[in-house]
Amino acid sequence: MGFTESSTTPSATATLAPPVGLDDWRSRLRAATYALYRDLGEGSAPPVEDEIEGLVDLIDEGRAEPTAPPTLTRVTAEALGGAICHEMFFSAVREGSLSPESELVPPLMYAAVLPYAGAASAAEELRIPAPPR
Amino acid sequence: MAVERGDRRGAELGELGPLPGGHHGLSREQILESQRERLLAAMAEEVAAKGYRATTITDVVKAASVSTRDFYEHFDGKEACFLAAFEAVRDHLETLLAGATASQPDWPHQAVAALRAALEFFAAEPDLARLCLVEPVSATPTIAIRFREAVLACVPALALGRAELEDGDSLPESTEDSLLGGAISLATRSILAGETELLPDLLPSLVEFTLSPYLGTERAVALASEARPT
Repeated sequence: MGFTESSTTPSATATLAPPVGLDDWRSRLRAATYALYRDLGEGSAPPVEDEIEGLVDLIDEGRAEPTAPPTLTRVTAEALGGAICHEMFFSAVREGSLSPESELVPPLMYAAVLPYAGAASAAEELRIPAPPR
Repeated sequence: MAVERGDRRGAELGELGPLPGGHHGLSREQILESQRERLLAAMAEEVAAKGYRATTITDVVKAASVSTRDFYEHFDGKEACFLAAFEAVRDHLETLLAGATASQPDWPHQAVAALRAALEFFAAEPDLARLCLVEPVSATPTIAIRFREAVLACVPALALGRAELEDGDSLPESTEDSLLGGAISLATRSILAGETELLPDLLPSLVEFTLSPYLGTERAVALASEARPT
């Protein structure tokens, strides 16, 4: 399911709204990842399927990056989308609530960007502050 | 392993059907062991068929041909029985992976061998794949935490890959956690899609995904190509 398609749950609708005004792939992915984090909020329910698929779609757009190796397939995006949701859910399970977004999200962005944009761009993600709420 | 029921390993594991009635000449310990194995196998079977939440102790004891009273001699309740099955599979997998990696020449090939062994095991045991990879997240908080602990126990073996880098500390601390989460997520998608038997087909993609941060894309792709079925 794409980010612009209809969703079955209110939380998914909020999360999957395409970030407005962000042209580059990394910025849109970062905005969506923070949105997913903030959408999960205090709850510890696993992200719903639509949320995961939407995130996978966005990650998979990384294959259009000029630096992306041609061997990458959608499976990489599926793994990365699953990794992000897995981390967020288990952070909530482990701690009782989500870890601070400034601790949790940048390393996840590092992992998501690395296969498509390389180590230098991925390392930049560790230093980029969270977008405003 | 205690939770297997199929014929394939019957000779190794012993039959898991009900014990014969009357004087069977078995000791009390042997009877209890047989009951426990059948309960674990039944739990895996029922959870695979219905999901954890819909599975009842009645379902499990019926499938195991064990009385409810005997069930409670072994376990406090459904969650305890599930956790015992989960831990039995985990123990078995640890042994399996240790055997699969022992003869490999270096860490990258050990990682590939471990991934291959795990995928082949779960492909051959779809009930256990569901019990171990799909159900824990939504079963109970205690089960989810136990699952989480099992995942984190794999981190040190994967983190050995940092030695392949000039500066292994350059990777974020959570890298292994993310990679394992991604691998589990991919496997879970296949299982939920009814394609558990195709899990070994994920090997090349998983090799590239999990090893790239440590080896770089080029080496990881080469290993993924080696892992591709011929």
